[in-house]
Amino acid sequence: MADESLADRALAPASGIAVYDGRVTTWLALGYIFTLAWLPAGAWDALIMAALILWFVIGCGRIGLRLIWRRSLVAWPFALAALTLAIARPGEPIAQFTIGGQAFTVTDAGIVATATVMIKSWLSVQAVMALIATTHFSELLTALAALRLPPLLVMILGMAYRYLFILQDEALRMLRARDSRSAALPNRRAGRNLRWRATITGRMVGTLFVRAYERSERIYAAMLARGYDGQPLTTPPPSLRRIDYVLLIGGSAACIGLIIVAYT
Amino acid sequence: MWWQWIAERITLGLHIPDGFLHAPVALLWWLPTVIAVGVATRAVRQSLDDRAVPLMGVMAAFIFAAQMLNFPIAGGTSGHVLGGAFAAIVLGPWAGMIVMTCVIALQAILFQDGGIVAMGANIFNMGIATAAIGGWIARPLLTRNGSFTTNRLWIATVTAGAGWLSVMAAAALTSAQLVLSDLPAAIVFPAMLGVHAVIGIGEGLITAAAVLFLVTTRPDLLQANAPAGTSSARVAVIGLIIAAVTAAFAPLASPDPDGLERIAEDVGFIERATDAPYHMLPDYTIPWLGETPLSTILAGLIGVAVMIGLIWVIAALLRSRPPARS
Amino acid sequence: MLTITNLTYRYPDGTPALRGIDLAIAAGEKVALLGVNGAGKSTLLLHLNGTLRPASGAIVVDGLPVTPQNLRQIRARVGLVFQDPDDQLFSPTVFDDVAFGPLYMGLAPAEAAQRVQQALQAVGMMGYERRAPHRLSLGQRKRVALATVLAMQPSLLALDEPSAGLDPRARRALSELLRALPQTMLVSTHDLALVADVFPRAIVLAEGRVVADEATASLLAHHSRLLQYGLI
Repeated sequence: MADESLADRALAPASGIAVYDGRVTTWLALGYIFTLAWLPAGAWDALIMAALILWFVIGCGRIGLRLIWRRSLVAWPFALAALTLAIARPGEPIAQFTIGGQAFTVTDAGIVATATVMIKSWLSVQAVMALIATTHFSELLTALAALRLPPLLVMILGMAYRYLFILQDEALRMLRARDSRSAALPNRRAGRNLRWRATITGRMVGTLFVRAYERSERIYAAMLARGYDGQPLTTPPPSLRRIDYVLLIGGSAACIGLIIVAYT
Repeated sequence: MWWQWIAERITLGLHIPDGFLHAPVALLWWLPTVIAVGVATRAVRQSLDDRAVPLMGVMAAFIFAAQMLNFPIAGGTSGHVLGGAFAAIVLGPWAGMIVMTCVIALQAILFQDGGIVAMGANIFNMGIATAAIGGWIARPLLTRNGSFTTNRLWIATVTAGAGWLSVMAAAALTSAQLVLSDLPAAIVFPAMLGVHAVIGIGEGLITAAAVLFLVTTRPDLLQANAPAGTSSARVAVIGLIIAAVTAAFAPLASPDPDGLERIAEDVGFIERATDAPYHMLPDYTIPWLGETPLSTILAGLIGVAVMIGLIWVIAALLRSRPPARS
Repeated sequence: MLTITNLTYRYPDGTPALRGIDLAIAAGEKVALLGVNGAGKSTLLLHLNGTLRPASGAIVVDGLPVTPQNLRQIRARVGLVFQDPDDQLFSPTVFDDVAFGPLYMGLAPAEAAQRVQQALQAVGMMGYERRAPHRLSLGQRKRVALATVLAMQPSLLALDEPSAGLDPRARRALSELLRALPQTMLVSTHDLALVADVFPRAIVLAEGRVVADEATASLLAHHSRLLQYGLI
């Protein structure tokens, strides 16, 4: 499921964008995605401009446009759902087909809506990928904290990220150990039944829960040992430099420009 | 194989990507999510105190990893657990919500499972609603006088039911949001509910087996005092339901357009509904700009600002009160 | 019994882990697999039952090649025991855990129960059937983990660092147990005392290659070579 290598890059951002403040890249990425959401169906000029802006930034950041494109395909199976838009919108009929006695009409407005949704979805995914390829997760948390996310939630997110890969490894080893014992004999049906297999999986979930819970108790003890008293540790982040403000203003202007282009 | 990959993606079908929800729909669903997460943060801080960070953080990582634990169903497809109901049954509703919120946020950011704008809706569907079912329906049924029941059949029935119901609720909410964003109800509802009625069986079986495992091996973890509702929690729950219902039905009032035009209409609708003495945005345009596109944009932006402001104020209210420390 | 020819494997990020492994083990042989951390011992063991798929090369167990098509049959023949028993034990009771393999293979519950008894007897854990695995000591959990694969009656046992973390008494008990078991064995370990005790033959891996394959006695006699391979 997890495509870790992009996130791993975030551990050692080597690209040009990385010299900019993580807060700026985070806010701009979020702003870009929120702007995309507001573009109406069929606003091709704005969508094309949005795509060019994003790809220009990705190119400048030397993240590798092709890598991003390949990875961004994760959004596509859900795009199948967007196809249903083609028959849902009232408009000029373009084609008709029948499935199981029910007639469906593809309309021009429907196709426009489908294409818009797919493009928006694809661009949004690329923007998130560009963000995590350039911004360390801790900087991302700083940016979210500055957006007044509760400090407790920020700390929990940081803790979750820290132990995410460790527990995933644990789960993977458990899966391997189970699969190594999932054998079959010739001429015999293996695997018993669905209910049994689900029950086994549920016990694995329970086992993993106990291990995770005990780990959290050890972590808690280690935190206490180092003087943690429940108060969030907030070191004020360095103030933004002039170049950061320039980027923020430029990025915001681009987003507003996209909205204006789309609605005029 | 590619079809297995697609099948796996479809079982992830509850993670709505960006682009699918109309912006007003997506934005409105942030409202109940922010309320719930805000209240949950306070509740968790009160009951867990300084244990909150390590416990919730590792539990979020746990749910993430538990979703990897799959089992073969048939034809190369496999089932896995969503985990919201389980987390809430074991940790309590508020802690369950916090844990699931972190999981969904990390999935969206790190793995692009689910969108950013759509995250409010995704958190509500897969985190808040599932944890509410596990924590407010199943958990009370499983505890008698503050201690966990020992009747295994009853535990299995209730937890399996809660697991199935949580997936169905998430699927129904997701479908509703997609339909509000103009996807055809005649396809979305039967497809989503049909597929998830089956997926929910896996969720129910896994949830039941996992809880029974804990009852057998570590009953002490279940007896641990989970973040219980404070007196204000009940008020918050009612507010949450009202906000969710509003979010669900407000967009229905203005059927067709999407984007800024729609929010402009929605703002007009809310104004009328509250019998405002004056119309701030008559005909969803700014009076002195006339009927121009620019006027619509500005009206829409004001509407967006009002909504974001509302979310912000609620969030601030929830944060401002200092935590009660024992 | 086990034949490996020119086995190579790369990690998903492209780093080579195994670079052309050739080895043959006869039925009934007990072979130790030595080498520093990262030499490829665990990676090699994970290939034996097809958990990892090689980039090139072939593995044949008991005349049956390890391929995706006959993965399940291979897993009935190769009993792979993981280093951390907690990864392997996921049931509320010892009995359930040991019964998992036999039940999955489609054996009737009565037959599976019999297999459980035999396996627990073989590892000296009779009477622990109803205990929860996490209530056992590490040494006991390691024995139960071994029993979970013995219950499947494999012809080849592949163990990953079975003595790691054990106290001296548990280690001696393990060494006696391994000597007593009749199966063919390939066991990765850092524990030279265990190697000297149980395994007449030793294979040393370094950077994904076999650098030594000889009688344990002759390997242990050369202090300088043990130092060179990083085994002491």
